[in-house]
Amino acid sequence: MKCSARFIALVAAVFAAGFTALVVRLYQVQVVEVGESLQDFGAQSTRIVQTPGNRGRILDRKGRVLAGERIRRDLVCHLEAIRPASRANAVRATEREIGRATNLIDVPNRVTAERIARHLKRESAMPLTVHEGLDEMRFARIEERHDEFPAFSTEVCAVRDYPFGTLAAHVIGHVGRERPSAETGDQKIHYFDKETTGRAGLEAYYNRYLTGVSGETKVRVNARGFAVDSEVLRAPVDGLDLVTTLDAEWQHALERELAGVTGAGVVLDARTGAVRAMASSPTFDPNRYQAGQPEFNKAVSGTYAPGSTFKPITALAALENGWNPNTVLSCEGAYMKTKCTARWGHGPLILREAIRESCNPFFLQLGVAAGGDAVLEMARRFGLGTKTGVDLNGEAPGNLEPWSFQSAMGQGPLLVTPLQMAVVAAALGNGGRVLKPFLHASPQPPGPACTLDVKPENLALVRQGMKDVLDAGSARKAFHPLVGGKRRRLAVDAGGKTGSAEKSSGAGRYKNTWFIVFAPFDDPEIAMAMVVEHGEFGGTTVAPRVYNVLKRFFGETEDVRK
Amino acid sequence: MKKLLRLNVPMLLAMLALCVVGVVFVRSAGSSRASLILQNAWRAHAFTAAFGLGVYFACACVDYRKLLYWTALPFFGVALVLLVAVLLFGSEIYGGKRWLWFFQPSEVAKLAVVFLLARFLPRAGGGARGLAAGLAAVAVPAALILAEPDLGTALVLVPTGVAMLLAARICRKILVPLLVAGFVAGGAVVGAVWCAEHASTPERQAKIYRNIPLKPHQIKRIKVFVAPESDPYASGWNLRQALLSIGSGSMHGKGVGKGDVKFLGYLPPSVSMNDFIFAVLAEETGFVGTCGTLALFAVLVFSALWIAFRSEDERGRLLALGVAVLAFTHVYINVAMSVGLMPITGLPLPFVSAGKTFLVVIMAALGVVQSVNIHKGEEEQCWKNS
Repeated sequence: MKCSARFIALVAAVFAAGFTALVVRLYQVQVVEVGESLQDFGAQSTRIVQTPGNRGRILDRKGRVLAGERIRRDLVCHLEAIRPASRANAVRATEREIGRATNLIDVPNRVTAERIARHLKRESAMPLTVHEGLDEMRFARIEERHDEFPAFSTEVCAVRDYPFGTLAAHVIGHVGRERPSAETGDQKIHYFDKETTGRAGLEAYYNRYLTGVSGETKVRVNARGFAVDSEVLRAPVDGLDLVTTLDAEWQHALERELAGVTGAGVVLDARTGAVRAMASSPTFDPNRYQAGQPEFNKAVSGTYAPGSTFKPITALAALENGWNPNTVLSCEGAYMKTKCTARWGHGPLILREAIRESCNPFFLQLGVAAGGDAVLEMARRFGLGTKTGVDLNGEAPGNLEPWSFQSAMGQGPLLVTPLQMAVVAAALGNGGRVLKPFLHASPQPPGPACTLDVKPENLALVRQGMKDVLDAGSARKAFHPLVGGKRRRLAVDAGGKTGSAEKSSGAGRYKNTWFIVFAPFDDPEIAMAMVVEHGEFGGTTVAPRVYNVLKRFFGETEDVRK
Repeated sequence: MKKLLRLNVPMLLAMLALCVVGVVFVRSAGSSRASLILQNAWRAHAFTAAFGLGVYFACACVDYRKLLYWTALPFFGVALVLLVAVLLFGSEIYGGKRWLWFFQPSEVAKLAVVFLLARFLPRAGGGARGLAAGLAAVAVPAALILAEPDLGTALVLVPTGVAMLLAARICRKILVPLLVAGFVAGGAVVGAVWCAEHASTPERQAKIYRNIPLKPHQIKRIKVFVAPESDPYASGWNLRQALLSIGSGSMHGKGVGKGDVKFLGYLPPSVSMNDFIFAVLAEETGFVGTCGTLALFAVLVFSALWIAFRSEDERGRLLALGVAVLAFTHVYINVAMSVGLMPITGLPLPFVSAGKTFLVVIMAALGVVQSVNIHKGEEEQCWKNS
C-alpha cells in the first residue's frame, strides 16, 4: 500500500504537537497571565464613580438651621435606553427624545447636539442631566408618563440652602461646586459629581468637617460605554453638623441696624469670646450667590482707624505708667493744630472727664506724657495689631506702627478691625481678660488668650469714664432717647465709647464712625463694636443703632433721673 | 443495522459530546443579544446537529467504496458548479459572497475535494502528471473560494490535500520542495510585515507593504497577529477581546452563560457565536473547559487516524486520513487564532460554531470515516474488475 502506517504515525505526531502547542498556549493565557487579563478586562469594563456625602448643616447656638441641604429634582436622560438605528444616529435620536421630554414639561431645551456627543464620548456611563430643579407639577407630569419616556427619570440631589437668606451671610459664607481636589485611595476615579465646596466664611473654614467623605460606586460598562450595573464599593459618609455660637436673634437685630449703611458690627459674649452676631453691610443672599457680590466681611477683614474708641487704651497706658488720675489738664479747643470736639475747649479736665467728653487735646497730651511705646504696648496687650484668631479666613491683623502723636486719639497709622474692637470692649468690661473670639460652639471654649495685667483701680477708673459716656457724655442722647415725651434708658447700666475717625481719600474727607460697648456694666455679658462708614459722629450715627440692638435683649426703662 | 454495532464508539461519543458543547455555547453566546434570531440560534444548531446525525448514520451504513465510486466525481462537479453559482448569485454578507440561499458551497467543497482525492489518488501514477492532477483538484475549488473571498476556507484545503498527496506518495520529489517553498514564502510574508511594523520610518514601512503581494485586509490581519498592540481599538479589537475573554476565564471559568466579555458586547455579536466561539467557551469554562474540549477533538481526530491505520484499503486510509486532517486543521487554526498563535482567518470550530452547512458536512465526513471502520473487513466490489 502506498499510504503507509508510518505516514499515519507521522500525521498523528503532527496532531499531537499541534494539540500540545494549543494547550501550552492556553495554559499561558488562562493560568499564567490570568492576572493581566483580569486587570485589563476590569480596566476596560469598570468605571469608578465618586459620590459625595451630604454636607453638614450649620446651626446657630439654639439649633436653628442657618445652612442646610435642600432636595432638588433633576430630569436626567439615560442615553443607553435610546436605541437609534445606527451609532451615527445616536446624537440625533437623543436630541429628538430630549426635545420631546422638555416639551412635555414645558422647559427650554438647553442640551445641544455637541453636549450629547461629548457626553456619549466621555461620560456615557452616567446619565445626562437635562433640566435642573423640577417643580412638583413638572415632576408629576414626567413621572406619570414614564412609559412614553423610558429613557428619562428624575434624580434627587441635594443643594445648599440658607433658610434665612441674607442672615449672617458673611459669616456662613457660601458654596460652589467644583471637582474634588484630591482623589481618595489609590483607585482611579472616572466620574464624580461636582462636590459642594465652601468658598467663604464658615463654609470654607470648616469645609473639611462639613464635607464628609465621598463614597465610591463601581459601574460596569458594556462595549458602547453604557452602564450595565453598579455596586457600591464604599458608601459616602455625611459631613458633620457645625453648631455655631451665633444667635439668630442677635444676628437679626444687628443686621437690621446696619441695613442701609455701609459698615460692620460684632457682638461677643464678654465672658467667653463666643461670637453672638457678626454682620457686614451691604450683604447678599448666598442662595443666589454670584461673583461680584459684596462678600468681603468687613467685621474681620475691614480695617479702620479706631478714632476715639482707642482712648480708653491710651488712658490705661498712662495710668499704668503712673499718671495721677486727678491731674488736671486744660483744653483750649485745639492742641498742635488738632481740634477738639468742643470748639471753644473743655477747659480744665481730669482723666475721667476727658473720657466722658472724648477730649482730643487732653488725650494727645496724655499720649505724649505716657510715651508712644507704653501706649502701643498696651494696645498690643489688647490684641491689636495681630489677628484675633477667630475661626474665619481672611482676617486682617490691623496695624499699630509707627507711633505718631495722633495715635493717642486713635488716628494716625492705627488700623483695627471691628472684631478687634469688640475684643477690646470685652476686655475692658470683663476685668481685663483679652478673649479669643470663636464661632464654633465647641464644648470647651478657648480660655482667655491673655490678661491685660493692669491694676484693678486703673481699669475701674477707665470703666467709670466709659459709663459716664453713656450717662452724661458723647452717647448720652443716644442712650437716653426721648420717646413720646419721656426719656428712656437701658434697663441695665453699660459702658461704652464713641469714635469718629477722620479719613481723607481721593473724594475728600469723611468720617468712619464707631461705637464700642459692654453691658451690663458690673458683670458684662455682651461686648459689642460697630462701625459705620461715612457717618456723622459716633454718638449720633452709631450709638443709637447699638442702643437699639441692646434694648431688645436688656430691655428699656423710663429714665427716672433728671 | 447490524453494521452500526461495528461503529468506532469513542469517535461517536466525542462527536455527540462536541455537539452538546456546541448547542450550549451557541446558546450562551446568543443569550446576551437583543435579536430573537440570535437568541434562538441554539435551537437551529440543535436541529441541524440532529439532521447531521441522520446523515452521519446514513453515510456510516453505506459502503464507502461504493460511495466513492459512484459519487466522488459528480459530487466534485456539483461542488464546482455551486462555487461558480455563489459567485454569480450569492448574497453578500460581511464583505464576502459566501451564501447561496441557505448554505455555503465552500463548506461542501471541502468534502468534495477529499472524496475526489480518495477516489483517484490510489490509481494515479507517482509522476508529475499525477501531482499536477492532484494539485488541480485542490487548486480549482480553492481559487473559486478565494474569489468569494474566503481565505480561511481556501487555505484549509491546502493541508488536507497535501496530506493526502503525501500519503499517496504522489511525486514527493517535487511536492516536498514545493511545500518547503510554500512555508518559506509564508514565513517571508509574516517576516516582512514584522519588519514593516518595526521599521524605522513610515516611508520604509509603506515601501515594504507595497511589495507584499496580498490585499490590504489580509496584510492587516497578519499585522494584527504580528503586533496586536499596534491598533487595539480597530483591527486588533477582536483578537484583544478574545484574549481578554480567554484569559479572564482563568482555571475554572466564570460559569456557563456568565461570560462578561460576551455579555458586555466587547466581543462583537458577529463573531462571538461563530469564529470566536472558543473565546466564549474559554471564558465560561476556563482552562479546564478548554482542555476538555480539546481532548474531545483529540479523541475525534485520533480515532479517525486509528481507523485509517486499521483500514487495509488504500482508499479507506486516504479517506479517513483526509477527514482527520480536515477536522484537525479547523480545530487548530480556529483555536490558534483565538489565542494569538496564528493570524485571524475565518474558520469555524467544528460542531461548536453556529455554522449549519459545515456542521452537516463535517458530520457526513465523519460518517464516511465510520463507514471505513465498519466495512474494513468486507471485500470490495467496485474496483474488482478494473
